[in-house]
Amino acid sequence: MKYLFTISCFFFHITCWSQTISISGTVRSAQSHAFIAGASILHDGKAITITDSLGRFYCALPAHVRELQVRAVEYKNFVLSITPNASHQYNISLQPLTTTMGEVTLATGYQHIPRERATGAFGKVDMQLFYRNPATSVLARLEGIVPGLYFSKTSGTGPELSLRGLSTFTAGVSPLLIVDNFPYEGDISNINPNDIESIVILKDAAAASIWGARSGNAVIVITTKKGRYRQAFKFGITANLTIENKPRLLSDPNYIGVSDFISIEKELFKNNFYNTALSNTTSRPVISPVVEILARQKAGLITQQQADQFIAAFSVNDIRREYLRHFYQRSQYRQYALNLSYGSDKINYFLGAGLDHNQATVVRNGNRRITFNSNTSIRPVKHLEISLGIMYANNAIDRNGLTTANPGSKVLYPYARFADSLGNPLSVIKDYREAYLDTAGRGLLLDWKYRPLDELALADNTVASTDLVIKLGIKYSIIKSLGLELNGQYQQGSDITTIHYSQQSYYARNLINRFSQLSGSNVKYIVPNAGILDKTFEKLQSFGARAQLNFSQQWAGRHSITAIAGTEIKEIKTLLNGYRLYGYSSNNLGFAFVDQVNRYPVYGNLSGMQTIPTVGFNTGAANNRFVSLYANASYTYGSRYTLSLSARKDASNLFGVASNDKWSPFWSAGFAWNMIKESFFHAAAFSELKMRITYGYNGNINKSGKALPTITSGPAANQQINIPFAYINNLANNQLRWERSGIINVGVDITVFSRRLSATIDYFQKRSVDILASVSIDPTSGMRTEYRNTASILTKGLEISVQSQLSYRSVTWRPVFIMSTLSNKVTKYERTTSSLSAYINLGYNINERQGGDPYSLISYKFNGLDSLGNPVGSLNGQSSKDYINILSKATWDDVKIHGSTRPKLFGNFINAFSYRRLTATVNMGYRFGYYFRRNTISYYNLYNSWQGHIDYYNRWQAPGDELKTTIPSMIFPANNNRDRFYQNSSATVSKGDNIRIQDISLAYQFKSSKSVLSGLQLQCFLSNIGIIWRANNHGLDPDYGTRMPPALSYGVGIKKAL
Amino acid sequence: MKQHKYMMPVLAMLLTTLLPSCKKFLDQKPNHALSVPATLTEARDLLNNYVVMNCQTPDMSMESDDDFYMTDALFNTSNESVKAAYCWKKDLVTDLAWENMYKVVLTANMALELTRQIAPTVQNQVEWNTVKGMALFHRSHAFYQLAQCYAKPYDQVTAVAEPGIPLRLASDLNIPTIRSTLQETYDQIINDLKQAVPLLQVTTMPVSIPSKAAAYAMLARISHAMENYEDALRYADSCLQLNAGLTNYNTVSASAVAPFQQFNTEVIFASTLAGLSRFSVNNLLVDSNLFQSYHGNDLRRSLFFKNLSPQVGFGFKGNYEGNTYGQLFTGLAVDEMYLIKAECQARLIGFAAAMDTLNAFLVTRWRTGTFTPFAAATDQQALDIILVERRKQLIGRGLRWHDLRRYNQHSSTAVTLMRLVNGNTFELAPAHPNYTFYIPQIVIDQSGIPQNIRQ
Repeated sequence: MKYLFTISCFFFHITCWSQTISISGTVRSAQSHAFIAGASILHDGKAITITDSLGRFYCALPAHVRELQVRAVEYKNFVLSITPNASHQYNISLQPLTTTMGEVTLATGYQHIPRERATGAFGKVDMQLFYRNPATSVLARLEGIVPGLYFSKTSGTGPELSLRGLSTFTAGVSPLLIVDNFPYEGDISNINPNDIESIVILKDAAAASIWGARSGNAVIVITTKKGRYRQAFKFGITANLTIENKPRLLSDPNYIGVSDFISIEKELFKNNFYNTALSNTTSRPVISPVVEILARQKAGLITQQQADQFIAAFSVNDIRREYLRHFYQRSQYRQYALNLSYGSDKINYFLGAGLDHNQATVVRNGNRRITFNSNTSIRPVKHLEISLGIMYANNAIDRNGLTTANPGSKVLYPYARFADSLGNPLSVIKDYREAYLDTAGRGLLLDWKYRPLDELALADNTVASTDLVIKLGIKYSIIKSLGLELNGQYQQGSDITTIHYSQQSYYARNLINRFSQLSGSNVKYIVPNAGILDKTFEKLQSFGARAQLNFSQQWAGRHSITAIAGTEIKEIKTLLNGYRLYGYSSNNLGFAFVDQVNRYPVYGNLSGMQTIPTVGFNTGAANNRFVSLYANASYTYGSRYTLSLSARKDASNLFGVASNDKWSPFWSAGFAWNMIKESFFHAAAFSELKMRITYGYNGNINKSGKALPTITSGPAANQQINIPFAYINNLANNQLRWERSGIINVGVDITVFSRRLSATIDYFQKRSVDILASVSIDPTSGMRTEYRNTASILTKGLEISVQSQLSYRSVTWRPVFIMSTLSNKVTKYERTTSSLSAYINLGYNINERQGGDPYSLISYKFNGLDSLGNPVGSLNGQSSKDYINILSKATWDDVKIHGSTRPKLFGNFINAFSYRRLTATVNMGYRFGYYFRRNTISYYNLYNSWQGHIDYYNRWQAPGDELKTTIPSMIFPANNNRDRFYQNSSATVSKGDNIRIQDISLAYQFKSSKSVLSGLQLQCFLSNIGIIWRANNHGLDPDYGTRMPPALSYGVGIKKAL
Repeated sequence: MKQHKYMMPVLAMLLTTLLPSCKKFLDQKPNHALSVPATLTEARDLLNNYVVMNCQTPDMSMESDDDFYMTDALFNTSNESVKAAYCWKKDLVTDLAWENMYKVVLTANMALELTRQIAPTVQNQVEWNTVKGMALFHRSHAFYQLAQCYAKPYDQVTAVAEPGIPLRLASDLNIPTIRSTLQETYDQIINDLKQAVPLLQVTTMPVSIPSKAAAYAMLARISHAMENYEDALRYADSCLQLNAGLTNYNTVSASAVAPFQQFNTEVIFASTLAGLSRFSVNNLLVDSNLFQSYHGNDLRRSLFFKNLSPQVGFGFKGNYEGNTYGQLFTGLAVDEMYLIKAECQARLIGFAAAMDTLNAFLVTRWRTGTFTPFAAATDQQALDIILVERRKQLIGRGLRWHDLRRYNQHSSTAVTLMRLVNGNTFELAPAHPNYTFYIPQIVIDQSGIPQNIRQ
């Protein structure tokens, strides 16, 4: 570091003259008044400094200098006159190079629309905020910076993104992702965020309907960085290190202490709870160590004193600490990226390379991603431009970690240990009781114990993912106002998943032992005594081609028309193959054939006869084809009124040819009024005032419905009797059509007070109709249900985004406030369920109930505890403890509809404070107006599955407690229906409202111009900081559902922008 | 600017060649595992789906019959429908049985429609015959199972007036659902099977595929249920001529968890219950009197029953499907044919022939060297012995309900069923209306067909 400083000083001195003046200032766009980063300040053609990310510059000059040049890409050069003896604070405005296009354009994937003339709801992502987040994935960086974009993290399989609510039941909520003009069909996590130039969100019909049948969930248009003609060689670098703490398992509420757990086991033992399991001599179900000791004591094999000693030794253990010590680590995410770009008169290029090396918080999980991205454009002759892009990603993922070591369907007992005091792996109970495994097989079978630490060391599970995209584009201007554009894209991706169970792994040993046949001292192995290999190949191929005419003409200075029309063809092929090898050895790649047809006895009659498992075998192939025609035109009069129209018709192979002819095209119409340009408008405070209104239709592709009767064939191996088979999916239905959403959007864009404050407000109403839903039909037909275009959803919402930039001396405050409201309602759904219990759950899955929110949280009414600690519910409007009938026969009088599990109001408040070159950014997120269900204690699960919960400590214990707690008393034997009732009652629902600090970043921008530090930025980043206010008083984070929220993560990085 | 002259024609040509090829481009099927059925192979694959076609025998009749009983503990944790069927209550939901059986009917109809679309040729004649025969067999089998649950017991006199089941003979879902008469129901079943006989292979591998022997066995079972003993005898005989392989129970291991193998030599056509833990070995408790009726040297005593504990009693493990988790065999087997033949001989020919048939069968069930042939002095005596042995052999096959419906037609053989549950006694009188189940309400709502009467 010191060395760097020395060098920087050295370079700095070169640029200094003896008699100097200091000048400083800002560079902005004359059109949008946005600050321009990376503008060069030159003296006699030599760059002396460039502006930082906030458009500021500072330099020292010889006192005699009277003139400086200011240059920025896509702006006209500017000459700055230095006035002697002035303040030397210059605020420079640069004119955009192409005034006809306007400098802020919005990419739709088909064209670039000048923001000024856009009628639709486009959301342009603030790339400064995007680049402040060091996350490996593009989508993760969008969290909390885009109005209306909602991240749901309740599922545990990664966040689910949605925009503007729900428009389908079965087609999924994820927005369509476009990367460089074409839908990206692969895994978006293969895209390096450091290669991204801009992201635009297409929200309403006018913006998105050009994407037709795939636009119903809104569209995210990602454009990667490109080179520019006549641009000097530039480079950018990024290096980040991010660390995430181990999860906070010690604050996991799903736990009860060891001593309490043991005393419950003792009590259950006394009540003969374990008798059936202990006397079972066939399947040998798992018995916990404490119960095993108690049984031995009862059988007189050990004394009471010995038993107490053994059990006392357990009570110092804590499974959570074992997990933390052995299964978790501080994660390390390392990210390196390099960007290069250059442009001459005829050729320009951009090269991006990235390496992400991640070690996850789960020990032995992680990945290494290499990305390479190149975009080259050439202009061999006038009027012609050819561009070639190649994107390559290779992601090697390790999935060797263990997060639990649970036996069968149980949760591991809290006093388990994974290693002795010397660190030697210890066994825990897995599938059979320990006492059985000690003697089974007379020493002839393989070791049958399960040692989590050995398993962790032996795990050999990887995914190798590669993705290649080749893009070719040809642009030709036929005449000045008419251009032809041809684009093609080919994408090929593959995922190879390998799960290798070595011969030493428990999985292999268990299977080998189960099928071993002992006679005398001979062992006959039905499953070969070697490893097992499962391999799955997933391949994706997609190809798209597009021919498009672009027209643009102005008349008489007042009329201007921009239009495009084109046709597009697309194919997406997916292929899946998987197999399992028995007898596999990684040393010589040998394998053995096994008999997977006949049934064999299972060792020790642990179960009836079985065939060798045929898991891992898989084949599948899908082929989706689309042909589309589209057109889009906008007419602007006097730069005040803009009318836009768009239409698209999609045909596909999904519903059959007969259906293709029937649909009306997706269309949209929009109108924008630039009030500021009206001669009567004289409010000087305004620099922008635009009203927008649009209406039109977006669509969803839903593969659930089929026009013709279809059957699915299964391979012989998938049925017991080993002959090929098939089953009927659906009967003929030629009435199917695309799902459609009619969206009305009203918006306004305002910029006031010399651009210090700007706001965008959009209100929308979306009526999604023709939603495919299953409808009950007469089962005498042989089918219970059929998919028909019958359901409807109404979604309404408001999206507000306000930003400002206020400076006082060296301090700048840049607040960004984004807020969205959203309400979803199923307006039509014809199927009803016979039992309300289908609606009573965590509320995270789509619930199609007509008249309700699709994410409703519904509970059984809770009428308190009775004087014995039993929960009281309601049945037919009367207080009741008839739990089984409450669960199956509750009426609407007996349940409570709390509201939605999705917030009605949510958004972020991002504050960036700058002092000279130091910028601190704090992103606060808020979510209001929603509910969630907490986990609680289930005594049935505690006894049978060893699943604890902290609510145990607040349970009803003595008469009178019913006034203080809602948690039922512990009873022997447990009543599963009583527990299920309480778990799903209104007593376990809390308000979800919360405000959190999502992340904090601190950045320092180096100033010097010619030094190696020029343009460098040092950055610290903290995320998962946590909730600062919450409506629930249980300390829970509702956004993670019943899972643990991730621990604090922090990182440092160094960056030089391209 | 010269080159621009060619630009538009080239573009026009590009578009015009692109558009007609669209239709072909879009003809590709989207999911390769999905297909619009069009071939005999696909028809056969549909019929070969073991779970859908063979393993959905309705279970509510097994809940209601008197082969087994439940402990109060099991009863108390059972769902409402099981409880209602067990105590012969008026209201119980039977939707699943209806749906599953009509799914078989639909699949068979789809296969039959394919045989109508695809003309038989010299090359495909065997396959064509097999597919058609299989489809007819499966449809009849499903109609028969439906008739035993949703229509009254067959009575030759009233069958023309009593409602039967809806006979769906095509896959089109727009066909209205109407109830046939009981006579039409049985005529359809018998005629379809007769039509299937010449089309089917003599025997098949595996025996989940209907064979000629299976068609005869099914005809024998149905004629027997209709009390048409002449036909039943003829068909049982025809079946036994093709397949008379009895298993010598001395070769079966009594210590095995599930002594009998799936598709063992006695199985003519495999079909099963869906597999519910309710019918697993530990939950199927046999009445102690019935258990005691097996002689000490009768191997079925140890092959069919597992001593669970002195308190609980004996569970049933004589499942011909070879599993313990409740997927009970309900198919056709050689033993049943022997018993039908013997019974019909006793009723029609005489006790001597009947006892010969019975003893030829029973000798394989007893410990080698211990069996003394059963003797009868009259036809009635022979019949009584045979009916007792029928009950002892066919326990847990789902046939008891069918037999009870038949026995209750005559006061001499009528049976009153009794249950003791949580200290309460329940009774089902002979020929009670609750021997017929309710048709699912959704069918009544959507089609308007008349509902059955229960009390």
